[in-house]
Amino acid sequence: MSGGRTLVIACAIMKEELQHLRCGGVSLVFLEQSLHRTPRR
Amino acid sequence: MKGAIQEEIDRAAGWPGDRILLGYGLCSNGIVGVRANRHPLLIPRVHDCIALFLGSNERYREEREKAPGTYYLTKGWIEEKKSPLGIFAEYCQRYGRETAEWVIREELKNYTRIALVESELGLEESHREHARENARFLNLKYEEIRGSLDFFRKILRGPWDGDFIFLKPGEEAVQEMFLE
Repeated sequence: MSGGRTLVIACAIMKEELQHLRCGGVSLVFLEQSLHRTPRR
Repeated sequence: MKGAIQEEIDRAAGWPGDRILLGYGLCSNGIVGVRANRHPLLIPRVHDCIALFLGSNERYREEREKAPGTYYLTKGWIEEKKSPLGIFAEYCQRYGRETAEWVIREELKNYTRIALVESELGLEESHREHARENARFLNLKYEEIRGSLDFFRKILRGPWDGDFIFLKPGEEAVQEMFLE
């Protein structure tokens, strides 16, 4: 499985890294940090 | 956490793409119960984001074996004030300084090391100084360790191999999938 279009939903903690490496065919959505401190939310 | 991620997955149900990747691991079980909707869902098979910042589960394991009681810091955690000192400041507002200090020291009493992860993108001196200040405050050993962008590259470009959990539409993440 490779190629095609990918949506990445990620913690904002890794925003800089993912934006730096971003390539064609990838969309990024970032959610606020520290959601793991409220795992049931 | 689960609700916020699921909301984004469900919102993307009409998106004409091929797959959804998550930039999350098991994360204190916050990922448990997240369900693939219309697209296949791939999740890094990691306990938390530290393995992602270090580049692999193997590197994380090596660090855990070297110093199990490590509090990891990254540039992002420091900038978002999620270091022990940042959390201490939050507690001070909530409980007052004396109680806050007792709470943070109790919470972190089993830690022995602060490790600042330096990625290929580098760090500024202010991040280093803040991490050292955390170590001094908690009387912990301080180290800087080398990170890697390799896992982030795999998230974006593949190969989506055994380092990832693959969920078909309708399948749900369970804790056992993350256990080695």
